[in-house]
Amino acid sequence: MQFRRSYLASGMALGLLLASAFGRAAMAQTGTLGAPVPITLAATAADRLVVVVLAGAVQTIASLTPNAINQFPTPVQIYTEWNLPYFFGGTLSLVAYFTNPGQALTTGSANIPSSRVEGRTSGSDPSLLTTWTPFNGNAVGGIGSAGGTQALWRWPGFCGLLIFCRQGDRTDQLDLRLNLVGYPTAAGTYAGVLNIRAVIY
Amino acid sequence: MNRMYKRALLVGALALMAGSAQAQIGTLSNGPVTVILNATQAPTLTLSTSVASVTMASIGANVVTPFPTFNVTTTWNLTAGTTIRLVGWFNTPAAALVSGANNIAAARVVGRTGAAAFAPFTGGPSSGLGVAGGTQQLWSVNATPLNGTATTNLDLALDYVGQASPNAGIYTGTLNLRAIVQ
Repeated sequence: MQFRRSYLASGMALGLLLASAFGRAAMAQTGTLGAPVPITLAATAADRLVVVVLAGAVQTIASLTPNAINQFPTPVQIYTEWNLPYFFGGTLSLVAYFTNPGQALTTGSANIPSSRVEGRTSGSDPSLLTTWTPFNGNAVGGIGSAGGTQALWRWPGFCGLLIFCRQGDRTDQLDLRLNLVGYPTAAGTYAGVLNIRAVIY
Repeated sequence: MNRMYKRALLVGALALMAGSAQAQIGTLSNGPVTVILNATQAPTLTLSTSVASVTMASIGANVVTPFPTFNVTTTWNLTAGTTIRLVGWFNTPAAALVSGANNIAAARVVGRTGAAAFAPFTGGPSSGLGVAGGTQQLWSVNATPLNGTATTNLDLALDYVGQASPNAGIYTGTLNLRAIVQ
């Protein structure tokens, strides 16, 4: 009797299994052509650190006044954008510098050194050059030249541990002037290049 | 034990991530953008005198009567040139100094710089400056270096040697001084 019961149960189970198999085959024939193929999607947001001069990329003083402060007429507008890893953990800074501090601007053999070029920034905090400051500092984060550099602003290192400042942007205004008080300049048209870079260190 | 193992794994993974990121960003910076600076110092050539006017109390007959000596300072900041010349002239040579209807001609006015001999203002334009018959080149200096300054004394006088003094009156006139670089 027990054997019969067991046999009966086995038969029922086999029947259910076959019914299930036939049922799945029938469904495959009516709606599904093959097994689903997974497609893996990957998108990388690369580390991004961009500096753009929005305005004032060329500064001109048509006629210098000797022994006086000569301000360039229009400010330089600098846009900085960053998108950094979560653990960047360092300091983000915008650095401006002259490659050759002794010859920031030159005409022939005459020069105006970077110590006679002064800058002042206004923009989002934290700004560093809130007052007129000569470009006579040393390199910042490995960027710049000895005696010809200034950091325009700096995000402190602790900010790097927070996700809030991991990405962002800011626009700053940089005013420039030549301080020729007590510094005679030979006649001529002086030309020079101020380099601006953002750096994390 | 299992919990400690998991905690150690988590700390290790975080340290690895932080270290890796820090190493990657140590060199992260953008390429430099530039601001071009141009500034022009225009060439200059200026004159100044130690006095604005000179006066003599009395014009002597048959003598050279000097005005007080004064200094002329020339300052230059040039981009080119070899010689700077100082030129003086009267606009109307026949009436260098005037008192009513009476005149003293430029030929009676003599001048010199340094220890040079007195010479009348009777020349033609010098280096394009001055008027015919009323001009004198007073001084010249090397323009090299291209920026500098030089001061010289200028003596002026009225030469009435062999002549009677002019009609009585207060005579006034203007000597024009100008520097030119060539």
